[in-house]
Amino acid sequence: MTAVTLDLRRVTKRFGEGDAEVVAVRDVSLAVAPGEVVLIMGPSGSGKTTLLSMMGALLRPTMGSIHLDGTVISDLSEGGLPDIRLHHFGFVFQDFNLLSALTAIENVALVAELAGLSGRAARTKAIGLLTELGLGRRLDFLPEKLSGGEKQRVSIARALVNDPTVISLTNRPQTWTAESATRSRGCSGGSPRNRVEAW
Amino acid sequence: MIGLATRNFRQGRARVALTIGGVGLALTLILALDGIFAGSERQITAYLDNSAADVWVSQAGVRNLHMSASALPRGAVEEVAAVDVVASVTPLLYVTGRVEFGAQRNLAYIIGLPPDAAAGRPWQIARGTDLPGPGEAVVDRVLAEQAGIDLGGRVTILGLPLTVVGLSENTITITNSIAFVAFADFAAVRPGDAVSFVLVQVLPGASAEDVAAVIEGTVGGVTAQTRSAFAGQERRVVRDMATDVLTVMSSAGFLIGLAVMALSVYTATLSRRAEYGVLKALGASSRFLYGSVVIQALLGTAGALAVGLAVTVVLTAVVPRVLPGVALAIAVDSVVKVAIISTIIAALAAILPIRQIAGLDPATVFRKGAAP
Repeated sequence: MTAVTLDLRRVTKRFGEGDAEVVAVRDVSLAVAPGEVVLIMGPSGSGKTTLLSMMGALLRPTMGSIHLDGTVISDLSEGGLPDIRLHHFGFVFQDFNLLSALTAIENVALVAELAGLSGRAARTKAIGLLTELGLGRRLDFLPEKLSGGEKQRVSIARALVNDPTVISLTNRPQTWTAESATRSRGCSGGSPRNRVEAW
Repeated sequence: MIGLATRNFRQGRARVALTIGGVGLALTLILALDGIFAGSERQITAYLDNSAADVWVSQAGVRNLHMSASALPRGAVEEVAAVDVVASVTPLLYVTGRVEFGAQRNLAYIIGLPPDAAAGRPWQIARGTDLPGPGEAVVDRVLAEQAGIDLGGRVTILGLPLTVVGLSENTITITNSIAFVAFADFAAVRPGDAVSFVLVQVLPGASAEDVAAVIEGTVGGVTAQTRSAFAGQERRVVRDMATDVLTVMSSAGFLIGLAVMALSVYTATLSRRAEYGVLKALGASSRFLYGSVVIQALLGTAGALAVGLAVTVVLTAVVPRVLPGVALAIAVDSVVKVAIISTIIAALAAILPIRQIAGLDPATVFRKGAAP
């Protein structure tokens, strides 16, 4: 294993061209070591989300390179990025972004199935995670029937289900509950080696 | 993929009901038209199919009954009868004319039957006899009942006042009925002594095809066809007449179904745009996302096909009761055709939503308010 899990080298991201060009991220280098928790803080419009998108293989930098466990993910083709996201990143979005037609357990199990787990194994893993997060009695609830905190914990379970290398949390919402924070830290079902949070 | 597609499809029941209902009715249009066409085909060839003749002999070049005229010299009847392995011959007179039930007039195939007709008689009789004598007629039961006429009632055929002595079943089609009169009465109003057709029965074990070939080879100026070949020609004429109409109406049904389905899948995808973005961000492959949309479209068209079939089955039972001349028959090839059309509708309806998903930027999910 390399000493640095996630390594950004002189990363720049520009949007638009000419007069309309906006440099969202300029020449940023960052190394995240295993087990490290990194917080990215800054005023609105400072490029946190763009940086996090590039770190999560959602966006490719205009310049520079991003390395994940020695693989240059910024050089991967568009078609190769979903697989990287699926197997190496766990995302907790600021609005939780659960799929409204699926129950809590299905929201979590789907991501495990996408990663190649059988339906039964994915379900078992999802039940374990959700139970650890205190949602054992809410497994078959649709998101609309869950409270904000419960949605948040389903979102955390979804982020952890594929045992990601990096878990990324965006703009910690005001609804981030102490219970969610405590439970997610102690959750054994998924143990990301790194956590990157953008506030 | 199937689970997500099914759940997405089932959410929004009003939209699902409208989609399945709308596309289902469009498919019903195609199925019902095909059904009417298939039913008409069966009705129109019913007389030929049930004529009990193995070979139909007509004037040279005349290969069907509908909108055609055939005239054979009397001598041809004897010549045909003289052919080896011919068991019986029945000369027929035929013309398209009118049957007048009082003030009610109906277009009909008028068939003149000799008193010893071995073939060509009505094949199903509700009441009375199947062989009219001089001054008598056998007419379709439904038309007679509509006109309030029963056995013993009076009708006018070929300008002759005749007494109804038989009521036949299944002798009405979407365009006309079949009426049977005595050969002598028909011959009296028709100039000359020609016959229209000669119906041949062959001896048991003999081949109708072989006999038809021998008749054509030995009797001059005739065309001889097996019963099935003659009925096939009749079907072809009907098909030629109806194909354009069917194509136009089927195309209309296809386009209506496509429009409804495309709109439905598009709006459903649009309403879940953010969720597809989430799936993209989580790492779902394009194949998974596109497959999910296609499966939703397929579920919609499958439901619509089921609705279309169910409505058409109901129509096959109801329509003949309301409109006696119209019969619907659901043919397997028609169902296969509509199933293929449904699949094409699903595939085409999925194109726009797939393009929309393809253009989604997964990074948008990091922005607040990206999902409901």
